[in-house]
Amino acid sequence: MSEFVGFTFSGLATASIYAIVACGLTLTYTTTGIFNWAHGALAAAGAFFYWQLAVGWDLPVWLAVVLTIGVLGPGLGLLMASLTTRRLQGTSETTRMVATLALLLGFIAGINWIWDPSVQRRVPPLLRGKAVELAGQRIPYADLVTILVALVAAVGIYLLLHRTRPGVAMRAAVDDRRLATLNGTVLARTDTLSWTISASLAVLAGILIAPRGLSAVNLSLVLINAFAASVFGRLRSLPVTFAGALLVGLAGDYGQGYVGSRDVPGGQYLLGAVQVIPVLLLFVVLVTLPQAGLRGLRGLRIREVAPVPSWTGAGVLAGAVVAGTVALVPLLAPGDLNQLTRVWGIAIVGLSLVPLVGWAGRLSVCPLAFAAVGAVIASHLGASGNPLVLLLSAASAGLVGLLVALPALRLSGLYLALATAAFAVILERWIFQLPAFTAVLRIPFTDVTLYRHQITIFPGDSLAIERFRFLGIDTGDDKAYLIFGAVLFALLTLGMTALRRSRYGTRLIALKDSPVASATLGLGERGPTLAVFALSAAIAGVGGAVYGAAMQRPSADSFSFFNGLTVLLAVVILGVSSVGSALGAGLFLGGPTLANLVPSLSQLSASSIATAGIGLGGNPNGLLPMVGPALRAALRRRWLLLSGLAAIVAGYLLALTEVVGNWVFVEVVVAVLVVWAAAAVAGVGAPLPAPDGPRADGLSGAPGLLGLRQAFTASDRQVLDHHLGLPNLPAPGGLPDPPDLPDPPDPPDPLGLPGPPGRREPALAGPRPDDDRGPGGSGGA
Amino acid sequence: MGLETQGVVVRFGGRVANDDVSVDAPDGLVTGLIGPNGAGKTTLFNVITGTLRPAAGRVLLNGVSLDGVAPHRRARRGLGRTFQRLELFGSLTVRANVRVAADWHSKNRAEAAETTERLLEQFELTDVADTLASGVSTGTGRIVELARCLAARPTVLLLDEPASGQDAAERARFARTLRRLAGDGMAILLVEHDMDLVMEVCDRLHVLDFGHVIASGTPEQIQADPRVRAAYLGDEEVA
Repeated sequence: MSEFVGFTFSGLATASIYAIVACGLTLTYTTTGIFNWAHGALAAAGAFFYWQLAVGWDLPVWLAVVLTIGVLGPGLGLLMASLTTRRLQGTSETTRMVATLALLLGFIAGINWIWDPSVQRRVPPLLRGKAVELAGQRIPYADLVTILVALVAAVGIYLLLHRTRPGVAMRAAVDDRRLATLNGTVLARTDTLSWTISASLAVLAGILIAPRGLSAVNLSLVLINAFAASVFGRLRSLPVTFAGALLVGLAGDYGQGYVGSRDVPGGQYLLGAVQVIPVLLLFVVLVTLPQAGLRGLRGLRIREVAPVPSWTGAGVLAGAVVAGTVALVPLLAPGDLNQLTRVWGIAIVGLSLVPLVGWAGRLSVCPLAFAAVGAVIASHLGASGNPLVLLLSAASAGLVGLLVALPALRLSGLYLALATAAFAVILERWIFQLPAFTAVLRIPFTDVTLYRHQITIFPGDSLAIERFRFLGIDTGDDKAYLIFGAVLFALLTLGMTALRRSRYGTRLIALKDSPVASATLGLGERGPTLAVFALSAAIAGVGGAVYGAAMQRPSADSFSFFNGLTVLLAVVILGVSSVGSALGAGLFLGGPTLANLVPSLSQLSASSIATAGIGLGGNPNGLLPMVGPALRAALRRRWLLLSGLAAIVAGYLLALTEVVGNWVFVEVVVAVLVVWAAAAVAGVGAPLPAPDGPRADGLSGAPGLLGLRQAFTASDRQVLDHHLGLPNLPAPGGLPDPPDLPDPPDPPDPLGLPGPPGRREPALAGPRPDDDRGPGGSGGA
Repeated sequence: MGLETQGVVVRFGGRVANDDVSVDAPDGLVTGLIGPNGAGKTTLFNVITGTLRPAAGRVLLNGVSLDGVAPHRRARRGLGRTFQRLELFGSLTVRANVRVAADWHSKNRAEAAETTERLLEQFELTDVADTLASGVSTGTGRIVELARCLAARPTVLLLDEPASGQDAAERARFARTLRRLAGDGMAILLVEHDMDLVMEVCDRLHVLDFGHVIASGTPEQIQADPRVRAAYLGDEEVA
């Protein structure tokens, strides 16, 4: 009993922290339409800032608290408001999520940059040592304060939303942003206000949670538990969110208290599970949420475009990947070779995101979790080095993908993304930490054992994965492995190209553009979405096996949630609808980078990716689609293409014969790429503006320029009159003759009223033409 | 047989958008569904296509109830629709918009390609076939939606204000197209505010006002109906 009281109070304190976080998250989601993945990172920033003030600089606790909540909170809120809301209007849900995921990565990189994560930091609990006695248990004051603070925050938000003018304006913005504007609400102000409140709540939660351990990554992940509470309230209702937080917090602490403290049968397998109880609850809620209605575009202008790749382009890319790798291998030093073997695994994982995110518009935030499944399978079943184990990796990762996607499938893309995040946490915190167990397959009711095997999913801290051997080729050698990976990646890009060009690829894009129109054409949503998610997970599984085999002993950390996030963001920034982005992500994240040369810049690649990701609102299509067409046009100039290629080949040969060093060759390649990019930007080879030929619509110039930059002629007026169905007026003399146009139809009744029956006789009396191209039907074309 | 609704009731909060609406659209005829803004026309379309679940009533397609049938399965049974607010696949070309529907309702690729090209030619979309659908004008967009819808080979066609945004010549051509499709045996239910077009192409009309069907009959009967005049014209005499 007394134990129960203790667990209840610690659970209530945990629940209070979740509630504070979840209420802020729900607040910004409802008022601005942006789901803030970085919300947990804001709390982490608050925790570290508070540590710096209260412990690092030894300020009084009250001052540290006031400064954190009163200065850091609003500051972060203003930052979030300026970085998100205004830039992301009119972008898809996926782009908006990627932008805040980029912020999450950016905040964590920033925190780790300022506060070196290898240094141990402790924050004493508020009011240390003081406690009340209840039923024989010491209940720390800190827990009571936390519960009290959460209650005050909840009542405060309620009063704000229901009793104050800005609060009512915020609720109006939730219902209909445009209508709220028309009624005098300044949306920029309400958005900023809700971000400020939300960020202040987040840093408050950070202060309260700081005594439980300071780690930017862990704090951001723990607060995914709070997301579960928000989902209870369906990201709308604050009271239900509060109730959800209570359930999540209490369930978690009871689980940890009871399972962790005594001999429960199988307890060692459940220890991890109790840590992820909130995330497991998230899955349960997802299953029980009612189905979302079919959504249309509702006036959203499409800014994301997925061009159809040509076979030529895909062939050139695949050929260049293989040829380039084969050519580079003899140049590389052993250390660089070994590092580069990772490129293809990451590139394949990146490729798995192209059909899912680029074409179907669904988001998986943990590609590396599915990759880890593939790697584990390759480790346990691929001891013989048979490359066919990659098929098993693909199949198991695909199957797991199906299970993850199934509960969220009926819901919007946000919930699918949440389900993948929850899956990643379950995998990292529970499944991979499982101690050894024995799998036994026995015929029921007999003693006949069919299969008995001792399994440790992630033995020690790393997996052992064999490199592949086939047809007399042993990829244990780094050179052979690099070429093997390149060939595999090239084949997969060709497969992706075939998929995009097939009717399945078109159908995925149609589904993304308008689910409701797809349905009325007989195209179902669930089947293709499930299939593409499973396919994506399967490819990620292959990528994981290839990535793991490159390292041979990958640690669990190589597949962490945050490494997965960098892959996702790199691909999206480069342009997730094209397969080239996967190659770019592989080279950038797997290849030797600045971080290897300058270790103090180890946060550089993460923070540069984060910075670029935040800019996505301005260009949601990513980098490659923006540069691609101009570059292709420029390279159609033979001299430019050939001189560049000649320079590269010459540099290569000189490096190969050791006349110059490798760095000279790298500089030559970079120089050629820079010249090509400059030529593309300068518009070399760009199509000239169309000459002033006759326009299809018969006007003498673009409608917007007529009468401004160009004379408005009588013939223009006649054409416009014709299109508007106005009666023909005689052209004033002295102006050019109007073009030959068919007779305009009768002017429509200006009131649009039903006329007397006699009036429509002529229209109905004539014989109906067999096709619909009558003399007046061509619309002046 | 065609399409029939029986006693459809839809409530949005306290507001009744459709109150006991029973209309029909028989094969081979163009049936108009008219009424002032907010009368419940698009709501009824959403009920018919299954994107909105009615509080009561049912929809019959060729005599078979569509209760509990998902929207995309209704489409496979022959229900086609265009949208008042365009729902084009904006990041696909006009040709791909038509092709994506043709692909799933043809036996093989050759047939799908042939259907696509025939429809593009028929609706004079060949000039814009390779532009992105997000870049065409509203009037052209409506034609693309119709072509796309026809590529799915519907037997019942629901058209939601198809002529708005079209110029006079396009409207005239559109009227002929509707007559031809009905002549081929298709059932067409047309929501439209352009009364000249409605009176010209429709064989029969249903008039909705505040969620009620206030009149049904031929265009001549409807024009003579005093209740319709009251609802539509505010008791004013028509010249």
